[in-house]
Amino acid sequence: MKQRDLKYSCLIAVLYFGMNVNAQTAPKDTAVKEQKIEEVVLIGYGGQKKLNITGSIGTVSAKDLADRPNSNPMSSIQGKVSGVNIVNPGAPGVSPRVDIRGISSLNGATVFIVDGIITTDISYLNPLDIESMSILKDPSSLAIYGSRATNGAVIIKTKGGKGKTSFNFNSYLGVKTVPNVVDMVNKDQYIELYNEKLKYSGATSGFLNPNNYGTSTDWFKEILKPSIINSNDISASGSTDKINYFLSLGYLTDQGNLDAGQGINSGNDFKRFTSRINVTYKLTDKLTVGTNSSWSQMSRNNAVNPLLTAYSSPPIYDPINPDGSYGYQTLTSLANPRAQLDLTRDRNKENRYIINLWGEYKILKDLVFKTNFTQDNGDTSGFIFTNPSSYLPGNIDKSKLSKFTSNARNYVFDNTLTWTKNLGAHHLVGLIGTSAQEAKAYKLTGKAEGVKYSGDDGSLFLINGGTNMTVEETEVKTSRLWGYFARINYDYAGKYLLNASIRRDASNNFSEGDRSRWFPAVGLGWVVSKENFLADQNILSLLKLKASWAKMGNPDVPRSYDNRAIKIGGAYFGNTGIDGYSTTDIYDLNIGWETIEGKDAGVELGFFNNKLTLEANYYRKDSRDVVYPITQPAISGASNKLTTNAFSFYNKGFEFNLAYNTNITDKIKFGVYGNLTTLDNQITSVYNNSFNETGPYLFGNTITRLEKGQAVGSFYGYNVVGVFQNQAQVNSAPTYSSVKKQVGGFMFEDRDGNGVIDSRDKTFLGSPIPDYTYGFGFNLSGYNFDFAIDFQGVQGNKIYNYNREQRYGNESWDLDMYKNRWHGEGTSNTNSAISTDQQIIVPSSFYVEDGSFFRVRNILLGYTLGSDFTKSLNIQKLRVYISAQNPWTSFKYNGFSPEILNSDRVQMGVDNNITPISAIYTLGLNLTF
Amino acid sequence: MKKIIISSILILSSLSCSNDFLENRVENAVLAEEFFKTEADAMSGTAAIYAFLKGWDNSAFPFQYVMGVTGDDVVKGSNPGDSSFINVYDNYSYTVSDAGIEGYWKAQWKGIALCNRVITHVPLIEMNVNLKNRLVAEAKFLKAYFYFNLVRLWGGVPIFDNIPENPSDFNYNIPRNSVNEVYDYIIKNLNEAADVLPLSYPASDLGRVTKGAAKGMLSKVYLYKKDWQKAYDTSNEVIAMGYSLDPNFNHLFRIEGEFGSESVFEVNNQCTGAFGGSQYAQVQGVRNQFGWGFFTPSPALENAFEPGDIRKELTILRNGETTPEGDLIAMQDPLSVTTFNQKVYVPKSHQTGCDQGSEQNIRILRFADILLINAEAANELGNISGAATSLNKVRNRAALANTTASTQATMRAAIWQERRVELAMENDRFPDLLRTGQAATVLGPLGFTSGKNELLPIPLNAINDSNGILTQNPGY
Repeated sequence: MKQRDLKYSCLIAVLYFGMNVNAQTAPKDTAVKEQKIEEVVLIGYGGQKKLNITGSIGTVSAKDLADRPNSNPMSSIQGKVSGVNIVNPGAPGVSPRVDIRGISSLNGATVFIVDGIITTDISYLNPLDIESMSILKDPSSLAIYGSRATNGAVIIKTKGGKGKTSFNFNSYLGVKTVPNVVDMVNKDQYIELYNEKLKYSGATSGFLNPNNYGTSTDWFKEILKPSIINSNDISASGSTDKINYFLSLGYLTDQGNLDAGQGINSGNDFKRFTSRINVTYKLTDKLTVGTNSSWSQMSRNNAVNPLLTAYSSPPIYDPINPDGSYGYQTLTSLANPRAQLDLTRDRNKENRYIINLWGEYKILKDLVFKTNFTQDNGDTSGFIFTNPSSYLPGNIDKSKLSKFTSNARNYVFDNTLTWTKNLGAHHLVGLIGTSAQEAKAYKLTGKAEGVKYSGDDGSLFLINGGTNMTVEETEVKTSRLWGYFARINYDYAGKYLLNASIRRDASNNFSEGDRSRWFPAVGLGWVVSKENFLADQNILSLLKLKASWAKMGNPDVPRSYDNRAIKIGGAYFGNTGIDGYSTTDIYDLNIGWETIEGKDAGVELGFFNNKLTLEANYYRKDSRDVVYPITQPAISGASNKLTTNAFSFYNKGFEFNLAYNTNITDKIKFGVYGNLTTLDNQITSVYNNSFNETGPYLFGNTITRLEKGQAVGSFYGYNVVGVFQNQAQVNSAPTYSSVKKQVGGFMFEDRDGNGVIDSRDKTFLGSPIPDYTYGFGFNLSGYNFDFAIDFQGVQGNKIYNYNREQRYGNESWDLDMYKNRWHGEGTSNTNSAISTDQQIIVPSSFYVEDGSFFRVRNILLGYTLGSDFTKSLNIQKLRVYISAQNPWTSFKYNGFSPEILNSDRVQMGVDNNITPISAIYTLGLNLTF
Repeated sequence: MKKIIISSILILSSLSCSNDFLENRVENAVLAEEFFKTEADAMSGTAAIYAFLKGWDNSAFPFQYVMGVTGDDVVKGSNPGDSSFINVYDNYSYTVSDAGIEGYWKAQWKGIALCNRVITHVPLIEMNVNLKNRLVAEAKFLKAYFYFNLVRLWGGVPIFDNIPENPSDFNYNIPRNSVNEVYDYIIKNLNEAADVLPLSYPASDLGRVTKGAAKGMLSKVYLYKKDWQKAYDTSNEVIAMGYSLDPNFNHLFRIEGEFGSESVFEVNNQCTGAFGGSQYAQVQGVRNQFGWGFFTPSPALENAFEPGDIRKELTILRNGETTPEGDLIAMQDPLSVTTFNQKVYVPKSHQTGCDQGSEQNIRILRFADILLINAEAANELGNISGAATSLNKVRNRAALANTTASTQATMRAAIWQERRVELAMENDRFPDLLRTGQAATVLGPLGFTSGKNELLPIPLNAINDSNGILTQNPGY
């Protein structure tokens, strides 16, 4: 052995030799009277029987993902797994956000482990290639993945083959519409509001005459249209005694609901071609090799999101004039939404290919060595081209072209040794392993102005008559991780369970000295129902108690050596420009790992042979030393906020799961499920008792604030207590500073009681984190029909209607505002008068709305053609189905949809030009032959 | 069993890593600790300060709120509903939580931080000694300028002379120094800068601060400190350097007139390449024709000019007039004010490819100002005829006859009046009114509260961040 290896091998040896398995015989397993839950769950570098799990793992099977019109498999499980909150995007090809048991960190995202590769982006993956998913929720399950998995992890295993070769063809065609379009004022109402606003500001002239304006434009009708989603997928799978294979090809087209594709715009869609080859080959009795490789090509046509412009545009002019030119108005500085869509051409293409090779060698009957190497490559290139918006008079814009090419290469090399030992009633699986990972990313962007578009993408070269050409190279960032780990899964007679693991990760994100961390995890379980005292009864088929604890760490944080010299523009001397650089960023030189400590306890119950199962869990996750900026005194002149291990917060709550499956008759099956998750999130401490105001910033006011005692992403502003009805009320109100008081304006609360309304009277207005999330549904099948309906909801969160707040001039208004505005004494005490006064438009409780919603998530009805009929055609199975996804949502929020996807968790509740979710009505078919 | 142990250890040992695998590598970016090591770094670090002078806070909105709108010659502009929060500067109703005041406060401190980095780090670089000393001198001048802004508007503030090794450890939380201490510090820096700075630069370095700029600024500082003798002597030094007034007042403010014989300190803006310029001209440009239409001449200014003063029509740009450059002024907002700042007007011919006047330089110090400083200092020392000589040069350029003032008191009033009309719309009026003690009488009718509004409030956030070490100005 080499000297240096002793350093690392110590612990492994200790653990190995320490496995003291006594040779004493244990009582034989008594004949089981209850239904064994034999399902094997993926737990990371292996699998475990569901009954032996002591952590919290949500399982999803291929069946749950089938027949759903979603390009990303995570979208399809919304509402199906307790503790997992999925927020879906409205635009095609965008990945949903996955929050597992609240917010663990302000850096990083949930990782997906697909056949060994660790990635945060599974947009390349065909949902139909998935055999099963395990969502690891609690730290004791996640600890085996070490530092990469602090925000949760989803293990995905792709399909294999079994038996005679069979082919599967799946196809669906869906129509997408935007179900809740906000009602806006029409021309006459808009002019009424415009004149009203003028009147209140004391003007005596400048009023608009509705007769001067011919059209009343419904901007949303102009920019939204129904669209199509279509997917076709074929796979072949089978096995012989030596080979097991699964091959698939798929093609998906998902169009967004923007009415794009006119002018120079190329459309609003996401197209994906996927291909996969999974092969397992048994070379000898001891040696098996295999591959799980895939190649996907995705192309996106991105359209500028004109939702906010359409929301704000006065409805008093035509999108396109009779002579073909774009309409415009001078009441606001808003672009014509039609032109916004038409004048930008944005396309990119991504090639993602993943090559995975693995080998498994049975050293001895119960000692297996497995090596797994995966290379994940992504190459993307694209461009964004904007034609001059020459429809504005006197506008002398030049066209702008930006092109980029980027690539990412990730490698994961895992090696594990698994030892299985059964000695009487003792069952033990021991695992030791190593993992080496590297990730490299590179991007090159070029920009030029003045390039002319000839109608062909080939004319879009930066050098073609362009001026102001610049090139920007993003640093080649190399991240490396080296980890080794060990785990034991032990059970005694299936009654007493012990699962423990330990992992050590070292990351190059740190300077020497704090480079590595240890992550311990332990879980205990007691399957009470296997005890003798519960043997003689027929009702309780399962009673299991479990508890676990673990520690994890996150190295993916900004570090002191991220402290760069920063660019401060450029200065001119004579006619030469010199870039200005300085070192005014402030970084804590000693930033360390973020750590998470998790506790979990639960009970699982099964009744009537596990026809009815119930599960209840309590969880608590404490995140400490979370790296995020905090305010720095301005007097230091620092360019940034101080970045340090500043925040600690917790996520805690309960999860409940219920499932009931039974045969009503021998031909009719019925099942019902439900889940409920409660979440309490709170920041427990901030470095130096400081705070951070961040997120969107309007007229000098930010909207969200991170501070001790509040949930992450809480809104911060003035509290509205009414509306000034008359001048007397205005006169008797406190002095307003930086905000204005006037008749028809908001009355703000003087929280510090000092007779002045200023920023000291701001307070916390609500949290974007739901108090609880839930989902339930039932399914019914029989006589060749199958029916399933899913409901899903979210309760107790708040949304900040930033779309409504952003006003600079004479923007349009939504109908709700029109109807409820103040327009005379006594007409409203909740909505202010129409105003664009930037001293009245301040962050306030008026814009904080209830974000709760309840929806019918999916309705599915399928019919399988009679087996006699299909066999005559040499087909094994032919099924057709219709479904509706998101057909109906009930919510109070005054926006398009209460589902706000913001990948920045601090801004997760702010609705700022968010694309709304579609309702999708689908017709599909499954064919097996 | 042994076979198992050995085989597994062998397998795993062959896979253990070396420390090299985990060595951190950063490519294509300059780490902060590796900056300020070469001559190019020194040039970049100094360029950063000049670049910052063109920034939003120092040239556009916040700068104009506190130095422009607060005077009696400038009003908010644009239409009544637009950015109505600016009205607080017109009527002095701002409070400790005002965002614009905080913006300008923060900008001065950021500028001082940029200067301190050059002053601390550049002397340690191995490079041409003369260039090194000159760059440090430039940074000292600019630091003095930022402190001058702070002391004129807020009074005494903490003095930071340099920065330590680990900036995140530095204690920025120190009490305010007194007004005199700050002025002495400014004077010290300007003197040190003036000793090193050259009289002029070759064309390739045009825009950098000169000895004349340092001495000129010094004379202005002495004026504020009421040190008349030193103000007189220093301004005479500047006069002896060979500056002269641009005979054409219109030419003085156009692109063609940049860096002319009258320019003492000017912030250079261009809009070629990747740098762009500043929004200084855009925010004041004719509404919806050349810009946003803010910070416009007040009715009081209209009436401040003597008959025959050519500066009136060259300071006030009116809707409907045709400029000497041939542009018909036609603003596009029926509700907006109708007069604009002609000193920042950039003709249409200069606007192709250069958005809304972004190349207009910001004139911080002109020779006319030096002459008036010289006149005022002379007058305070009893030298009425010396004062008249300097004063008349400015008047004659404006096609006005010599002054008729003959006593110290009348001369003083004449000089103050001349400062008003010569430097109108150039962000000098408000500090000047404060300096000369006229603020209460002139601005009182507009809402100025004596005993309070002579100083701006220290921003609430700064007071809170300091945990009580910084004391607020009286009245807020």
